[in-house]
Amino acid sequence: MTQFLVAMVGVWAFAVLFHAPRRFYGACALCGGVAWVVYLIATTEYQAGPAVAALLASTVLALVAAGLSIQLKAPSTMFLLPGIFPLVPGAGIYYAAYYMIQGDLSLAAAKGVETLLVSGGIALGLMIGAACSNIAMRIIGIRRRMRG
Amino acid sequence: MDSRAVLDLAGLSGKILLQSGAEIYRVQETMLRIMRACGVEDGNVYVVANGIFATVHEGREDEGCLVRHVPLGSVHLGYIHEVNQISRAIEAGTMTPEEALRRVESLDIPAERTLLQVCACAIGSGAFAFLFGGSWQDALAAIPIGVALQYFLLFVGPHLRRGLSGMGGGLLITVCADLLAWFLPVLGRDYIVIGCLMPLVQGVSFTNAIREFFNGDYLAGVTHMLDALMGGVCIACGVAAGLMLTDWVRGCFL
Repeated sequence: MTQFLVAMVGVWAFAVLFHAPRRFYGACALCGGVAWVVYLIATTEYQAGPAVAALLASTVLALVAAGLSIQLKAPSTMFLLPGIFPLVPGAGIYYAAYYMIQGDLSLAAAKGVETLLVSGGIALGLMIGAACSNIAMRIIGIRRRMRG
Repeated sequence: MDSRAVLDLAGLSGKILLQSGAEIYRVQETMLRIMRACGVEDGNVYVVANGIFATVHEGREDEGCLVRHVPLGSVHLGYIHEVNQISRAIEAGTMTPEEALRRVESLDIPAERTLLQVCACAIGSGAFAFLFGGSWQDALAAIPIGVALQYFLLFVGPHLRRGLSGMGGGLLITVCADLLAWFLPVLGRDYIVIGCLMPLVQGVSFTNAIREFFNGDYLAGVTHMLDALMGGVCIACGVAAGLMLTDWVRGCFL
């Protein structure tokens, strides 16, 4: 719960940094909080690797962002850009540099590759989420047309 | 509105969208929508990561063309939302093109940086220091460094090349965090640095790159991806330089 709240605060900060309109702050923060919780649950409860966890979390993030963008009539970019930040591998960049300085090149390379893998996981997750929400919207659209 | 004015309106809207961090797909779509809504049937738009090309009514009496260079700017989600709503309003007929041009022109100013944003950068740094495994002391220690970082980006950043500001930021954070952790041994330097790195990381370029790939705009996708990758490498270089520097200083004193 603390983690969820702190993640929301962090994402709120990025929403402010990116000049999001004030009334979307809450939705942005919610997005990022949910993504972080999914990431945490995947890594701690199910022992998923960071890349797989990032994939799951970013899939959920893309779906939530698409849902919110329909609900609040705003571009999904609004929620996606701040919301992605808890997943971005900033720590990987740091540790890669750190081990490089320590002279432990194999660990540095391992961290570097892990960072790239996590980035790949996020990329894949966002694409899956976007594809799913596209399909969902088509289905909803077809249903509406059939009813109307 | 004649075709030249429509082209200007669409071009300006596209420019604001692109430099605020919208995807290529959205920029093209919005520009074409505006053109169509203003009665230009034969409009063509081609957008890359840092430029816009557009023509209207090619081969006719009132033809027009437009080229804009749009350097990678700072993200402004509010502008994206605003232009999006304007284009919808034109389409729905609730806003005249002249009114829309006035509204869009009022958006064509660099975003003001406020104290709120400095606070946000600080609080964000603290929150992420905590999220990535730091204690609450680390989170508190990250806050002043976040303030320093934001002021660095505000006053020094604009004079530096894109990669260099990441490098300088990384260096600044690492040195500050190391000093703090030196005087207050309860602090974990690693967590403070990681938390403060987050505002520097090119998360926006990265996310947009993926969305460009998804939409099939590979040219813009590659540009953004390279931007994100170079940004990451530059930050790592800055951090590494900071670590070396602090190690060396310690070596001199101890």
